[in-house]
Amino acid sequence: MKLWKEFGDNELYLLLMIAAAYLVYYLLIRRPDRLAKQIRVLSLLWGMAIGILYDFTIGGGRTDFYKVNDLNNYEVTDIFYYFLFAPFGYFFFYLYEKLNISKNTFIIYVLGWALFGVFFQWILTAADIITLQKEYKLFHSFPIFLLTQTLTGVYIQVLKSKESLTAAE
Amino acid sequence: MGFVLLIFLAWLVIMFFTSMNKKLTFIENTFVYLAAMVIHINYTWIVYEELNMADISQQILNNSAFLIHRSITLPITLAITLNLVRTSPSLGSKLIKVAVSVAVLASEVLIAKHFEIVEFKNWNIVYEIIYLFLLHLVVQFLLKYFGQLKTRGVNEA
Repeated sequence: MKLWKEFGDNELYLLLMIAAAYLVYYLLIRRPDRLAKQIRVLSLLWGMAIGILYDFTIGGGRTDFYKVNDLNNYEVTDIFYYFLFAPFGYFFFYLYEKLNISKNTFIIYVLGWALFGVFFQWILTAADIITLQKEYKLFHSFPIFLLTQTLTGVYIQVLKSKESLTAAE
Repeated sequence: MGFVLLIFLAWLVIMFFTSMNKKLTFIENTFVYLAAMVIHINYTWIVYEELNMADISQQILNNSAFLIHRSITLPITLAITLNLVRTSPSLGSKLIKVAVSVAVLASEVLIAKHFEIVEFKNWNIVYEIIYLFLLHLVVQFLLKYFGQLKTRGVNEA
C-alpha cells in the first residue's frame, strides 16, 4: 500500500471534485427539506459501498478492468476516490424524494442517473483519475450503472413504505 | 466442489435471514450489511492482495465463490448475528452468539482453504478468527451509533 506514486494533476482534480461534491452536500443538508439523519448516513454509506463493491470486483482482482489513480495497487488517494461516491448516494436519495419519483417517473429518473454515471466516469477518465484497461470501454459501464440505480431506486421505494425519508428532527 | 459448497452456504444464509424474525429495523439491517461489506472488502484487499498474505484463486468458479462469500455471505451472516444479539438478555449470551457466528465464518474460510479458493501464505486461521471477532465488535459499535441518530433526531424535534 502506497501513499501515491506521485501527487499529480489527477490527485488535484480528485480533491477539487470531492470539495465540490461535499460543498453541495453541505448546502443540501442545511435546507429544511433535508433527509433524516439515519437516511443521510445510510445514503452516504450506500454511495461509498457501491463504489467500493464495483471497484474491488471488476476494477481489481481477476478482472481488473480499470485502475484508480496511478497504480493498480491500493493508494491512500484511492480512499478519497471512494469518499467521492458518498455524497452522490445522498443526492440520489434526496432527489428521489424531492422530485417525488413515482411508477411513472421511475424509468426516466434511473435512466437519467445511469447516463449521468457514464458522463461522470468519462470526466474521471479524462482527468486520469481512472484508467480503463483490458479492452474495457466506457459504454460497458452503462448496464452496470443501470442495474445499480434500478436496485437503489427499488430499495428507496421499499424504504419509503416503511418510514419517512424526511422525518422531523 | 468448493464453489458448490460456498454457493450453498450463501443460499442458506440468505434463506435464514429472509425467514428469521428480525429485531433490527429494515434500515438497520441495511446499515449492518453495507458496513460489514465495506470493511471486509477492504480487509481482504489489503491483507490478502496488498500485503500478499494470501492468494486468491484466479480460476473463474473459485474466484466467483470467493467474491460471493466476501460480498454476500459474510455481511448477511453479520446481519443475522446482530439481530440475534439484540434479543440476548445477558452479555454471556451475546458473546456465545458472536462466537458461533465467528466459528461459522471461520469454517467457511477453512472450506475455501481446503478447496484452494484461498491459500494462506503469511496468514493463518487464528489471525482470521481474531479479525472476524473484531469485525463483529466494530459493526456492533457502529450499529449502536447509527441507532442513536434516530433517538437524537426525535429528542431534538
